This record gives sequence, C-alpha cells and structure tokens, in this order.
Amino acid sequence: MIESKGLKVYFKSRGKTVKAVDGVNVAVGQKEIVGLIGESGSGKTTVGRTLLALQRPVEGDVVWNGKDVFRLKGSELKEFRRRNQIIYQIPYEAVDIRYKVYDVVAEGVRIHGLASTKEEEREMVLKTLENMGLTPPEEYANALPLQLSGGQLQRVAIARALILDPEIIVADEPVSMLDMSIRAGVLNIFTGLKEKGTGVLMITHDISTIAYVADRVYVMYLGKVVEQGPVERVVENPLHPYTQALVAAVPRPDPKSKVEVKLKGEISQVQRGCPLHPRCPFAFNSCRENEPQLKEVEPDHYVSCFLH
Amino acid sequence: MNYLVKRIIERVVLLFAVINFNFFLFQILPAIYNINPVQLYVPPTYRGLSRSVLVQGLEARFGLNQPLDIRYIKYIEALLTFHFGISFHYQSPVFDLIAQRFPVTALLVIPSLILSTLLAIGLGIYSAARNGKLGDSVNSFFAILTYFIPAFWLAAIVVYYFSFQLGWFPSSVAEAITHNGVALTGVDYWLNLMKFLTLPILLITVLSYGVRMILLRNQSVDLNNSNFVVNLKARGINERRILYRHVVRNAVLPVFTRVGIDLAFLFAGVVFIEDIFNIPGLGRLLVTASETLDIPLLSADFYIISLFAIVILLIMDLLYPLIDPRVRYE
Amino acid sequence: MNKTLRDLLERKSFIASLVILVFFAVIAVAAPILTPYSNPYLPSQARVAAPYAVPGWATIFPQYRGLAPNQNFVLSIYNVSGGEVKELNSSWMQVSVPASGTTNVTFPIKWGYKPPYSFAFSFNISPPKEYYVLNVVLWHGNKSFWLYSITPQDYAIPPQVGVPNKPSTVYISSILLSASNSPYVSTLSPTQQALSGVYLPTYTFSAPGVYNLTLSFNNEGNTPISFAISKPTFSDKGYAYGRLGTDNNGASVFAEFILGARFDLFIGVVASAMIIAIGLILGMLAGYIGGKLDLSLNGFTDFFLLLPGLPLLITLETILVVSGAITKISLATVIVILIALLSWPGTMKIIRSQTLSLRTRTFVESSKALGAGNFRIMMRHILPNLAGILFAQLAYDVPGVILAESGLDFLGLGIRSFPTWGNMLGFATNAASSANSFAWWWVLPPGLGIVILSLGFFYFGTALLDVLSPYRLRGE
Ligand SMILES: Nc1ncnc2c1ncn2[C@@H]1O[C@H](COP(=O)(O)OP(=O)(O)O)[C@@H](O)[C@H]1O
Ligand code: SF4
Ligand SMILES: [Mg+2]
Repeated sequence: MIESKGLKVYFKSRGKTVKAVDGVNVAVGQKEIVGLIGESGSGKTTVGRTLLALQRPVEGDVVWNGKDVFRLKGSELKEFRRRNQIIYQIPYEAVDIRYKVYDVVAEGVRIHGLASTKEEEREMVLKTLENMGLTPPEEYANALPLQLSGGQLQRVAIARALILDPEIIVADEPVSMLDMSIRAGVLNIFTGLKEKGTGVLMITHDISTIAYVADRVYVMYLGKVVEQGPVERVVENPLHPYTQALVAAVPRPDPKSKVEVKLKGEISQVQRGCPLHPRCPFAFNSCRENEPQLKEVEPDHYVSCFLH
Repeated sequence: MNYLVKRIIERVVLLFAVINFNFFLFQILPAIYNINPVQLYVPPTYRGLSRSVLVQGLEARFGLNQPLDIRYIKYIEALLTFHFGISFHYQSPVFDLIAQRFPVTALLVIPSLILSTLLAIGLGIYSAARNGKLGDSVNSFFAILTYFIPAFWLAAIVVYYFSFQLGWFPSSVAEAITHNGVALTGVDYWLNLMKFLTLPILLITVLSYGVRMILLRNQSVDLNNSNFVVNLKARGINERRILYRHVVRNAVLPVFTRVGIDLAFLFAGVVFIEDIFNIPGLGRLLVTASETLDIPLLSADFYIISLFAIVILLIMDLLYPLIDPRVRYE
Repeated sequence: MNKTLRDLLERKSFIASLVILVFFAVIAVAAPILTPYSNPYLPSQARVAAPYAVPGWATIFPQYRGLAPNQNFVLSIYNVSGGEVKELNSSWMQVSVPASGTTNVTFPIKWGYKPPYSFAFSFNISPPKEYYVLNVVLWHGNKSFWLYSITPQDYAIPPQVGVPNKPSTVYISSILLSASNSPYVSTLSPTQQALSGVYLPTYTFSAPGVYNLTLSFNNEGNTPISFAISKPTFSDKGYAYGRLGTDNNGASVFAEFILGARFDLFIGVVASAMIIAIGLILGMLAGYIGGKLDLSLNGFTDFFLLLPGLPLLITLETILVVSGAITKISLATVIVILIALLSWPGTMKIIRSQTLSLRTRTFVESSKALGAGNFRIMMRHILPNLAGILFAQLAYDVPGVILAESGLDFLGLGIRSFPTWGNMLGFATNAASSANSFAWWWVLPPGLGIVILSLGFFYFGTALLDVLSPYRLRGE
C-alpha cells in the first residue's frame, strides 16, 4: 500500500512557480486498479513519480507500508524500488535504446541480484517475455528496441518491471501511444496482474480506459483531486462539472445521458477560487473567491464543488 | 533583478579567484621552486658590485624581500589602485607600458572584430537559407577550415606575397610611417598606418569569422526546425520573412555573446599576428612578460584581461534580457 | 557494431577524413622506413643537398628548369691514350704505363644541368712501388681544371697529395679542395680560394654538356709500372632534392615533415586523451551529481576559461624550465602535460551539458526506478551514451593541441632540437622574412599538414558523433 498525504510538488521555471501537484491524497493498495484521470498538464505524471520517490515534493509525505519513502536508504530503498515499479507513456524513451531487449529486461534482475547464474537469468527473462505475449521470446530478446513496434516495446517495458514481481505498479498512460487495436491487449495484462494481487495506479486522460479496468478513480485538475470514488459511481454519475465534461466528451452508443457539460477555453492556472472557475459553465460568485474542499456526498464518493 | 544580483556576485567571486590564482602563480609558485625572478635580470657583475649585492638591491627595489603576506596585501592594493609598479624587463611603469600598447592592439582588434562579425552574419544567413545544399556545404567547409589555419603561417605567406612580391602594402611599421626617411605626421601618418594595418586586420577577420558563422548557422538551422517556426510555416507565412524576422534575429544573440568573449581574449590572442607584422602590441608585451617572468607586468596583464572579460560578461548579463525576446515576452 | 560501421562508411566526409588520418598515421608509423634521417636538425644530417634545394619534381617549372639533382654513378666508359688498360673485373682495371711515359684514361661525363652545389670523384687505387705522379684533370672544350695531383706518400709537395703504398681511396670533393691540396685552387686569387667550395662547381660544370675526367698516370722511371684502380664514382649534391627539397641547412624537408607528423600526431592524441579524461570525470560528475558539486566544479571550470591560455602556458613553462624542475622529464612531456592541463575546460563544459541533458531522460529515471544506483547509471547509461561525444571531442581536441604546440614552437618557446611542424613553420617563416627567400616547399607542407590533419580529425569526429549518438543531444 502506497499512500500520499497532502502532497505538493512545485516546479520553478524561469522564475515562475508551477504548482504541478497541490495537496493531493491518493492511495493504492494490493489487488486493485486505481484510476488517475485528468487532462494533460493536470499533474498526474508528477503524482505517479512522486509516489515512487522519483521526484521530491515540497511538502507532504508518501508512506509505503508505514514508512516515509523519502527517508529510505540503502537496502530498504532497494527493496522499495524492487516492490514498486513504473511503466512510462512512451516506451521508446523509457528504455536505453542501445541495449538489446534481453539486457533491458534483465537490468532489474542484475541490480537486485535475483539470479544466481546466467542460465537462471536467461530463463527468467525469456519466461517474462513470453508471459507478455512476446513469442518466440528468444527472437525478441535479441532484438534492439528500435526494431520493435510501440506495442511490442511497451510489453518489453512492462516485462522489465514485472520481472521484479512488484506489489504496486504505476502505469503512466501505458496505452495512449499505442494503436486502438492493441490497447485492450496491453490493458488486459494489468487486469491479469490485479487478479494475482498486484496494485496498479492507472494514469490516463481517457475515461473509457478507466471505465474498462479501474476499481476506484481519482479525477485531477490543475494539481488537485476534484472528485474521487468507485468507478461505477464516478463514471455513471459524475458530480463535478469537470468530470461531467470528461464523460460527456466520450462518444457513446446510447445518447440518453442526462447532462452535456462543455468547458470553455483551455487549462490555465488561477490565482484563487475554484481552479475550474474560468472554464466552468456553472461558476458563480463564490467560485471566484473561495476554494471548495473535497467532501463526501455519498458513501465513498468525494467531490470538491460548491454545487454539492 | 534577484537573478542579476546573483550573477554579479558570481562574477566578482570568479574575478577574486583569478586574482588569487595569479598571486599563487607569479609569487608563490616561483617561491616553491626556489626561483628568484630578479636573478633572471642580474648580470654577473655590474660596476664592481657582486651579483648577490645586485640581487639584494633589486629585491629591495621590487619588494621581493618581503614576506608573502605583505606582498599579498601590496599586490591587492596595486590591483585596486591600478598602480602596478615597475616592469622588471622594460624598467618602466607597467601602467604606461600597457597604456602605450593598448591603442595599437585596439586598432588591430576592433576593426577586425566588426568585420568578422559582419562576415559571419552574412555568410551564416546564406548558409542557413541554403541549409543542406551545396552552397551551404562549401561555405561551412571554408568556415571550419579557418579554425585550423595557424595564424602565423598564413600571415607569413600573405606578407610575403602581398608585401614583398606585389608591394601592395608596406612590410613594416617603420616603412609605413616614414616617407623617404622622414617621419610622417597628421593625416598621412594615420592613412599610412591604416594601410599597413589593413593586411593584419583582414587576416584576423578571415581567421576568426568561422566560429561565429558556424554558430549562427547551426542556431538558425535548429530554430528553423523548432515547433515555433514549423507553426509559422504551417500558417503559410513567407519563408524568407520567417528566416529574417524570427530565425536570424534569435540566432544572432549567441553570436554577440561570443563576440564579447572573443573581444576580451583577442587582446591577448593576436600575438602571432603582432609577431609576424612586427607590431608592438599587447599580445607581444604579454608573451615577453611570460618568457621573462616579469611579475609586475604579468600580474597587471592577467588582471586586466580577466577584469575586461568579467566586465563584458556582466554587460552581456545585463543586456541579454533586453534583447532576448523570450525573456522579454514572458 | 556492424551497422555503426556501415553508417559511417556511407558518409563521404567520413571516408575523406579516414583517408587523411590513415595517410598521416602511415607516414608517422613508417617514418623510419621512409627516411634515413632520424633528426635532420643534427648537423650530421644536414647538407644532404644545397640549402634551399627545390623538390626534385619542381624542375618541371620553368624557373627551376635545369637545376641539378643529387647524382651518384660509376664512370664506366673511358678511352685510353699512351698506354694500356686491362679490365680485371667489372669494377677494377689495370693501367700499365710504359717507361717515361704517360697514360691518360679519360671518362666522359654527361652533364645535363646548371652547376651543382658540390661534386665529388672517388676511386680506389693500388699504386706501384715506384715513383709516379697521377694528375686528375676535369676538362670541357678548351677549359681544363687540374683538380688533384697524387704522388707516393713521402714525395708529395703541396698542393700534391701523398698516397701510401697500399690500396687506398682517393676522394676529391669540391668542398674539400683548397690551395693546399688542389693545383687548380692554388692558382686562384686569395678571395676565390676562400670560397672555392662555392666557385668550383660553377666554374667546372658551368652549363650542360659533356665533361671529361682524365686520370693522367705519369711514369718518370725507366721501367714500366702498373696501377690497379677502380672505376671512379662521380657524385654531386644539387639544387633539386627529393620529394620536398631542403631547408636553409640543406636538410631534407621531407624527413622533417614526416618526423614532424609523427611527433604532432603523437602529442595530439596523447594530450587529447588527457583532456578527455579530465573533462569526462569532472563533466560527468558535475552534470550527474549536480547540486553543490556541480556548482563548485562548474565554477572551477569557468575560472579556468577566464585565464588567458597561451601566456599562462608560457609562464608555467618558464617557471618549470628556469627552476630546473623539469630536467628529469623531457620538455616535450612538460609541454604535453601543460597543454592538457590548460585545455580541458571546454571539453568539460560540453560533457557536463550532455550529461545534464541525459540525466533528465526517461530511461535514466526508469533505471533509477528499477533500483539502479548512481554508479551503475553513470557507467551503464550515461557513459555509453556519451561515447559519441567523447570520440568526437577526442578528434576535435587534437587540432587544438597541435595548434597550441606549434604556436609555442613558432615563438621559440617549445621544442627546438628536433623537427615538429611548429618548428618547421617557425624556422621557415623566420628564414623567409630575414633572407627574403620564401621557400614554399618548406613553408607550405607543415602548415598544410596542420590544416589537413585537423580537418581530417574534425570530420572524423563529426561523423562519429552523428553515428554513435542514438539520442540527439544538443550542446549549449
Ligand atoms: N520536471 C519538470 N520540470 C518543470 N515542470 C514540470 C516538470 N514535470 C512536470 N512539470 C509541469 O508540471 C505540470 C504537470 O505536469 P505532469 O505531471 O506531466 O501532468 P500530466 O501528466 O497530467 O500531463 C505541467 O505544467 C508541467 O509543465
Ligand atoms: S466550484 Fe464552482 S467553478 Fe468550481 S466546479 Fe463547482 S461550480 Fe464550477
Ligand atoms: Mg503525463
């Protein structure tokens, strides 16, 4: 179980501060797929990276099995790394393209000394590749990353993480760069993992992906979680105008949906008030002055909006 | 503003480090190696005085018999007040020596810097506009070629051909500023001096434009491939217009930074040209000082070059936000 | 690897640079085979031809037409008058001189050039026990030069030269002839006698034509005598020499050039390797570790960039040389080390910026996420991805080193005792300005050598950079 508490991550660029993550509480446990959804630039990737201690927050904690991950050292840190993995959006950027697929996948095994002999290592690598649907594995093992398609390389990247048998995986838009036709195949890998007990934080900007795989979902906007709850509730009955807009944007076979919310303009920072107010069709005076807080409006379903 | 103050402090710290390094180099290092620089200047005997007496006398005169900490204070004092003392080798005040030679070198460096920058910009734009075509390849090749030409070699050839063979230019300063053995004055003096300096100025121009041209070309090519420019092109804006209004204007900035840095170091760097053309400038002064371990002259020269470089870098820091549109528009 | 090689070979500029580098590498390695000289600056290896001799092939140009090359051949055609000559074998012959008679053996020499710088004849002789006089006369038309006169050892009256009564070698060289050993020279005026080495070749071989060397054997006794002599060898040193002519000392410029190439290539590569080593260690640490370490290492580098390079180099050299601290190591070593110690900052800056750019790449973070430590990431992911830039820098730094070293040599502060390209340039340009004699065959090769070799390294490095960098890295 990984949990963040009041996480804030700010970036400074050219003297200006970007509040990429601004007070986020998320939790990912075993045997569940947690969705993290929001437009590009809302801070999802940063949340994922900070959860795995790949980015230091300016404030807040990340707790892993009761331990502060930013205080981990030596073998504890190594253990944390082994048990928690990340899959990146663009596989071509996430692997060192000068190494063969075999070495890409074997890297973790070598770092953690999981195989005592070369043969054992080979067996592990080939088996993991095969489990990822890359058959025959010997052939893929000898390939260079640039010789593979995006889907194949993403499977390699997943294999690289899974060979360490992690408890929790942060999957940062793992299918957004892939062809529609092969997305389901890759997503199925994650549902399969969940069955075996792994926890997944599935980051995406596409609500249909979430609806397909997730159990619970967090909706992020401008560094803040604006709505959270079980996926059926959030997708079937979105309460926050932002979530409603996201849902409305998805073309659906039955056009009987209740609300058709459209946002104005593009994502932009606000000085104060509700982060969404410049774009929200329901915004009223209070929205411009005060910031709404997350509030449980039905069991387990939280929203931060003055309308609720 | 905050950023600027930080920059200024950084630069001043850097200058202070250089000053201390120079002290180490010129005063402590010789002491470590047991070299007494004045011994390089003392004849075995002079007017019946023994060598050791002479050495002591000179030491006293140049303050070399004092302990290092006192020398350090005097050294810093000298740098701050610009009273650099007396040169060992030339036996005259260091300040006067530098002041005499500065205009000579400036006359050489500044025109060639302007010319070579213009050349670099012109040819750089040509190359950028023709990126990848034959004209660009040939142009770039020659620019790169000029990096590698030893200045003294080309200078010797050019002097031989244009001065000796063709007689287009006077071959020495003396020849340039006299006529039938009588020294020229007024306008004639300057005209003839400039005529003499034409060849070295052109040489420095040709030998130094290359780096800047390639810089401009590469910057322009990179900018040309940037999203910003690709967008402009997609909007159907005339490519020539994009090249001049957007690409070149931005690409010229690093070139000017480079010019600033070159300016500081060219004053020391034209020694080869000065040597071949027999021009009594700063470069030769510095090399002579280095060869003869002329401590006061070396300290002052190194200090002035570093000071000059730092001042120019600071001016660049100040000007940059004013001319860089990316800084301005944000 | 195979693919990399193929990529490289597809580039014209790479092929051209490879040809250049291989060419210079071959002449550097094969220098001892290509030239008999080990150090043309030694007096014993100078004067192999006239000073300022033009290259042999340059005689195709009108202004050098007819300049004599170095020659050395055996005079095997002869005619005899007043006695008898019998060939003992292919090189020796027996000359029989009748009592009180004279036998003249005349060897024609075909001379097709302007006067040489010097000439010489040599032959072996086994003289008879009896008294004799052997005169050596060089003649052409009605002009004749009584160069030499030989008698038995104890009877010689200068300018006669005595020869012991056993087989010995006679060597007659225009340079060695003087009033005391040459009848002809002794007839000249005192000033001409002093400069006979200069005048003799112009008097004797004044123009193309057939010249004759007559050995005149005189028997003053009452019994026939006989000599055994070898066929004479004629040799001359000319004003056209070898592939690249000679310098002001008559030393072979070709030898200087290839020995210089050998030296320059060597110090260039060695100093570059040192520059790369320093730049890599500092640049990678600063760029990867970042923080305070970066601040201090980067500041340290900026500081070095602010020092004027050449004067600093000279000052350090002066201190080290004057102090005598370097008597144990050679000046060349000191210069290489100093150049390397003063030239690394640029390379460090580039490697640092590349490392900074690599460090933020996703694949580096991905490795960190797997649990890789800093050392592993640097060795496995940063360093291999810097390979292109490292090789490129290695290539880019070589010209810088060669130019710096040449600059020192040119100013007379570097290596003086054996040929480097810088030395050649220094001496050649000095000679050109003082004597107003511009020996292009001496001035051009070292400069062109530097330029062409540098271009070779530059394009070689650029090609390697392109091919070995899978991630497009940008400087600045
Ligand atoms: N390393 C970084 N340095 C500076 N700004 C960053 C960095 N990473 C992300 N940001 C900024 O933080 C914001 C959130 O980014 P990100 O977490 O990537 O959002 P998302 O994944 O939802 O698209 C963006 O405005 C982005 O520009
Ligand atoms: S608080 Fe106001 S502005 Fe914000 S989402 Fe709700 S209605 Fe819109
Ligand atoms: Mg993202």
